[in-house]
Amino acid sequence: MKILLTIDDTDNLESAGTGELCETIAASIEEKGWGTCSGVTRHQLFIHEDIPYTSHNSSMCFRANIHEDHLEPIIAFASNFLETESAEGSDPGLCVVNEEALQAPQKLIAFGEKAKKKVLTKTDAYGLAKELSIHLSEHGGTGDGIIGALAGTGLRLTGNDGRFKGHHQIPISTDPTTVKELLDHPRIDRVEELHGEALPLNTAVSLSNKVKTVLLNHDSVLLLYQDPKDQLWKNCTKQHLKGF
Amino acid sequence: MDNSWFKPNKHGHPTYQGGQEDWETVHGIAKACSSFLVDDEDECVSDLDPSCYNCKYRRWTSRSFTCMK
Repeated sequence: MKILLTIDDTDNLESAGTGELCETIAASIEEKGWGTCSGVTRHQLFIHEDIPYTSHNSSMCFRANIHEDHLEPIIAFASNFLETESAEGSDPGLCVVNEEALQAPQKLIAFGEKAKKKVLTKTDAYGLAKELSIHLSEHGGTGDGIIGALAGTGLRLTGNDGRFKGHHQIPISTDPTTVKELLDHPRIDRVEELHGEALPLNTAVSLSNKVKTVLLNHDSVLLLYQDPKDQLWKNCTKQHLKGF
Repeated sequence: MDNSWFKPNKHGHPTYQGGQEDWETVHGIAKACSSFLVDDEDECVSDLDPSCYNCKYRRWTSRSFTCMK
């Protein structure tokens, strides 16, 4: 079965970030032989003074392919992990969705999209989770993290929201490399220019800084831009990717 | 923190007056700031390091950010 697991509000200014904890949960699932996990994605939620986020209000999500016997152990493991590893003063929440059993996924997507534009409540989140039979649980503090955890799951489900956590190490044989060579990387599904157009496989690409991908049409997509200074295609900068 | 670029908001938190795309200025402010601490890679949005936009102590607001140091 395919599940989405999302966590939110696990950190404070001194602790490891929520993304790091999410990645550790994914790695633990694989180490225990419970399943295989995709990359972790970061989903930006509403920035508003009434929302008590630490500094950026984002949640972190990954997809896992698991045997159904492992669903409950995974939820128990993630719950215990959040209770022991979340930072003091944080309000962690966990959401786990069985994608194949999910009725009315458009309702979950709508919740995620709404959470990018307005302040939602725990009552809103629990109401939808109950209606859709989604696992949603609090693991400390106020438990407000359940709102972002549920919203992040809906946003991941859209297939068109967020950036993948971290960056990719690209072993290249030539500099510049080519689109074709980049597509050989296991964590890159597509290579496109910034506005969504595909590029010929033999297009030369100069890589610099950290190579990051975004979630577009359910794929991990490396976005490129053509530098007007030298006309070379280059991987997008942090500033280009800020809006994802 | 260069106080000339920050004004307290209604809660008294110093809020940057240049918004969220004033890349060069916040690069300069961060270079001179003894409290700068780079945030997680996934939360960094500026290509000019250091930058208040990449600092662990900035808290985004709808139009700008507040400095928590």
